[in-house]
Amino acid sequence: MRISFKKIQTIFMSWETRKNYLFSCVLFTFMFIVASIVSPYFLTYKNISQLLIQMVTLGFVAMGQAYVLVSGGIDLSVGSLVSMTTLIIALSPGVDPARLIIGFLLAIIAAVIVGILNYFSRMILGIDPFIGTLASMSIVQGLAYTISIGTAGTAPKHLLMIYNGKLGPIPVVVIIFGLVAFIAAIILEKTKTGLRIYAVGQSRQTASYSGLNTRQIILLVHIIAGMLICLGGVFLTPRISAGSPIVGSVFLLDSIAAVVLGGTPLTGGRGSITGTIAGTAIMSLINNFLNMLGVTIYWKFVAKGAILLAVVAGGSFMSGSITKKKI
Amino acid sequence: MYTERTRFLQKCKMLLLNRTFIVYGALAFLLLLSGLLNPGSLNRRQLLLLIRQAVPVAIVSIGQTLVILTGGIDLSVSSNLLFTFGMMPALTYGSDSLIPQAFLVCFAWLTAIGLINGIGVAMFGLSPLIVTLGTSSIVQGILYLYIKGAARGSAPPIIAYIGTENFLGFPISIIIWFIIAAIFVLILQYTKLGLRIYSVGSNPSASYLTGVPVKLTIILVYMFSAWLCMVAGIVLIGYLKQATLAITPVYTLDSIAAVVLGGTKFIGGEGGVIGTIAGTLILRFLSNLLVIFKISYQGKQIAQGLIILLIAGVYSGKRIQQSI
Amino acid sequence: MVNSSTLLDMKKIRKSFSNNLVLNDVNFSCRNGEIRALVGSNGAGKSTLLKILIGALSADGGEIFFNSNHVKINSVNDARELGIAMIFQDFNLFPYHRVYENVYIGRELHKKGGILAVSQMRDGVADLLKKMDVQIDIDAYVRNLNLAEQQMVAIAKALLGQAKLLIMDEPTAPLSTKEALHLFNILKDLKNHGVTVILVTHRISEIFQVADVVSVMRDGKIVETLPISEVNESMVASLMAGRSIDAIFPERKISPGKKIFSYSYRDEKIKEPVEFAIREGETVSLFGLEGQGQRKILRSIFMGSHKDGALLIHDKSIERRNPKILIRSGVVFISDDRVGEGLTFNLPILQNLIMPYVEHRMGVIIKRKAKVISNDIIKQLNIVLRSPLQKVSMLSGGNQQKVALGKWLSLKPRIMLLDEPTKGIDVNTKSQIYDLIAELADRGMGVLMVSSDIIETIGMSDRILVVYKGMIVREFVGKGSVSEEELLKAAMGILEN
Repeated sequence: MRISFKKIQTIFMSWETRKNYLFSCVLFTFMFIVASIVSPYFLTYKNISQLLIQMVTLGFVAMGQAYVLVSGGIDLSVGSLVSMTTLIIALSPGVDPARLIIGFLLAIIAAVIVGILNYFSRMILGIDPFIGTLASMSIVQGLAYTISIGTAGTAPKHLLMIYNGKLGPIPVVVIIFGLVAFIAAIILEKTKTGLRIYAVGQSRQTASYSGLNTRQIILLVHIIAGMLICLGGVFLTPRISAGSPIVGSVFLLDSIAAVVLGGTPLTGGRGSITGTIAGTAIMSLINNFLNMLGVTIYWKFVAKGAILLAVVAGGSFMSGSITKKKI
Repeated sequence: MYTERTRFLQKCKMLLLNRTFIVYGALAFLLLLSGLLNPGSLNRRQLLLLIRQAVPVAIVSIGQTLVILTGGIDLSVSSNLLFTFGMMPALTYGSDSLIPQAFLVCFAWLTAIGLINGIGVAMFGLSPLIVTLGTSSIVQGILYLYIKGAARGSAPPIIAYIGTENFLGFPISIIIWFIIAAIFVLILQYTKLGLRIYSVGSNPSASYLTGVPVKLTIILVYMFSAWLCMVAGIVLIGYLKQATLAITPVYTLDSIAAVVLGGTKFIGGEGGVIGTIAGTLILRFLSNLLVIFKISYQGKQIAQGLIILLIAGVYSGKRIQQSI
Repeated sequence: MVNSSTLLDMKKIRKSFSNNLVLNDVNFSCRNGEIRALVGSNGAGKSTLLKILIGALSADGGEIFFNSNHVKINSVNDARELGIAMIFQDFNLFPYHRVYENVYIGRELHKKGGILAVSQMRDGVADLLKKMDVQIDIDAYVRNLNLAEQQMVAIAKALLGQAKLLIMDEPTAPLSTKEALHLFNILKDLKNHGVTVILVTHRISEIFQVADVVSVMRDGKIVETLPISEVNESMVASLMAGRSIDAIFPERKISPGKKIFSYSYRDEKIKEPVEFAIREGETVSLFGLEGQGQRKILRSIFMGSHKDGALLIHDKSIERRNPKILIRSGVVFISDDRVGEGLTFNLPILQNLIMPYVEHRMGVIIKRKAKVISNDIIKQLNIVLRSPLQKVSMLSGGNQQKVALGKWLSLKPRIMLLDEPTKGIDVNTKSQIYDLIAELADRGMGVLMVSSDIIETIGMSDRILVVYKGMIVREFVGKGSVSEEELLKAAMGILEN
């Protein structure tokens, strides 16, 4: 029996469930295997643990972005929030260990405020989330610069200890990330709240007709996102041992790429945390792999872009959304 | 008569609610404020210098306007501009004789980028956000690979001339901007292509049924955007004379802000270059105003964000009542 | 007449849409545990009345009593709380949620911490579906279900919410005969459990299988409410019609000329191909009840491919089919979906009007001529507006339709494909449009029309092709040569005498 293209399409489409992460998991596995074959250094403990640690910040940010995207929005302010968080943590007053606690609390409060701001512009002012979060990105970036123009401060001692710590063979940060990711996944994929977030993302109108309080749900989404992004910034600080107003900018585009590669479409209503983590892994894998090959850092840009385009184009091809007619 | 009065009031109301009016009003207000707070800062020479700095962003914003009008977005403008900015001096080695070749290379590349963006959006039905994100990454990588991470070369004399000198009292770069803006205003208002752009952005299905080549139109606007980024890149290298990678790629977000402030609807179909011009100038004068207040770069960012929220909020005012 | 078993009583409901009186002091009531059929021609006011009942629209006047209490229904939630549930034609479900998720959304069962009690919900839905005698994969995503199954989910959702009054809009439109029968059984079962059902339908024959009482609506009023046992199809048909035909339809001056268009449409699922021709100056209608395929045939002309069938214009075969080629050949299409396909709403009237001409007859630059053309059309069609620079969305429905139609005049089309030419338009504008079509036909233009308004069909057509289950079952030749009842019966598939 010939395997026709149509058959492949049907098989693919039957996995087009809400979570949509089959493809990204397959892609990740594929890339992982290729990397292991191509380079013997890849599967070493040192490399893998480095890979995992690098995944942490992007992972947190991508999860925050995923929540917002699933609810039908988008968040362009993630990068600047990460930067600001590193500055808050690195410059927080006091003495260790209180310093870490104070910094963390301040950072969380700031992140929640930013989340509320994004909710406000989206639901109360009725501004398209792209524009609204573009504006809040500007504001937060400005605030970050106000705190410090260049790198400043130092990572709190206890944070550095956590960052360098290991529980058995596994770095502590990875465990923390795993726990938070687990909880985030449960909330989105297995709770009543999560179900409603998906609903709002699929159709605000239908959600409203079904008796859901869409405003409340979106407010919650942005607050959760803020907190996740804050965590990303917290664990970025020890990596650069300071705070910096620009360190977060790369995470904006990387988080969108990670989320999309992980099966969460920009249109909302679908996706998953699990997929997002797979997408994060793919992005980090690209980084890690290229670094390992000793290839110039610039190939990373080309590779990231090319892979993103290829995957998305392939995805749209498979799901049959290329139509001859525009109608 | 009663009806004449109500008609007049209705006309006033329509005028006040007209976005172009709002944005030019805001611009005038800003200028007034600058003039009051710092008399003497509004002399001709200062103004021209100020506007000249804004030319690259302004040109990029025109391309962005076209793309947003069709309901899309172009996030590759920064890298497209950077590409030209880096390639031109590197390829010309600072001499005039190599300009034609360098120009052709850049033109070829940017045409390809425009095509990829356009085809990805129009024919594959991909999200413009993703496609232009992807191409921007690729372009940046290619640029860095070629110049091996270190910006080299300086602008050839002719280009430097364009970027810094005046013609008939006006900086040539501003004249270039003016000409480009005029061309596109005319295209949007008086040509078939312009009508097609608005139509596609407003309702692709209805446009298709009227016989409008929807896909072709979309591909064209992304190509225009890429070409305009090239022009902007050339102007920029002419102005700065020396290639450097220290330029922060904010052109993307600034251009989007200028377009949206100028009254073009983010979902497309409404707006235009005339508004974008005002949007660009507002952003420029705002930062100038803040300099007067000795508010630094940081403050400018914050203020910019607040202005966008304010004006975008005003524009979407009616929608508050309808938000579910 | 209010007694304790009256569930719903709507008194003197009045509603206008900018000068167009749609509901004219409507009195409508139903009793507990009744299945009420609400029938009426297109534009009679049925959907408006129901939208008011479920809170999607507000009435200009009148009162609503529910369970003998005076109630104000200002929002969809108000209606929900009262126990009024409506199942729209597009079901309002979440495609990427599973069946049990859709049924329980808003009322989810959960354990501590908000975690969904999936097995409990599955059981709950399984119970519901069992009571409804329906077999559906509970875990399936709604988007993978067929329309009949989706409808079941929508019903289950309403039932979970303890609906006392269930309203269904054209429920059998997407169903096969067998599925429809199954639906009726479910509705009868609901009735036995005390749920009242209002069924809006165009398929008159079906109401006899399920309804207890039928209300006929016409021109914004309920003209008659009778128990099913006291009526038959003919009676219902004539109650629905009841208007004299000649009043607003223009006389035709010429008779059809030579053949200019012929089409042979083939649908793989249907045995016979559909073949017909249109002659110069002739107005042909494809008439059928909802979902019989007439619209599909019409749209396939403009947007299909040569796989669908052979298209000949002036005896020249059209191989590739896309809007541009067809427009070049003189065929234009006016969709029934004004908002989605007919007009670019956010653009000014001027832009909408000149677009076909600019696109197909002008070069790169739009000359002054365009404005002249636009003004000509405005004048010719008497489009009421403040300025051509206004957005089309600001116009009334009738004027919008004039724009949708008028823009093609500049191209002097030879064939006009009209889908619901006067949908949602007030009477005055309707007759203006009829006059226009007649005038164009007199000048030699051929018209192919699909309209669900039976009076319009009879009044405007030189020939009526009755479509039933995707095939042409009868042809009536000659303007005004068929009565409404006869036409309706043919459309219902009744092949008598």
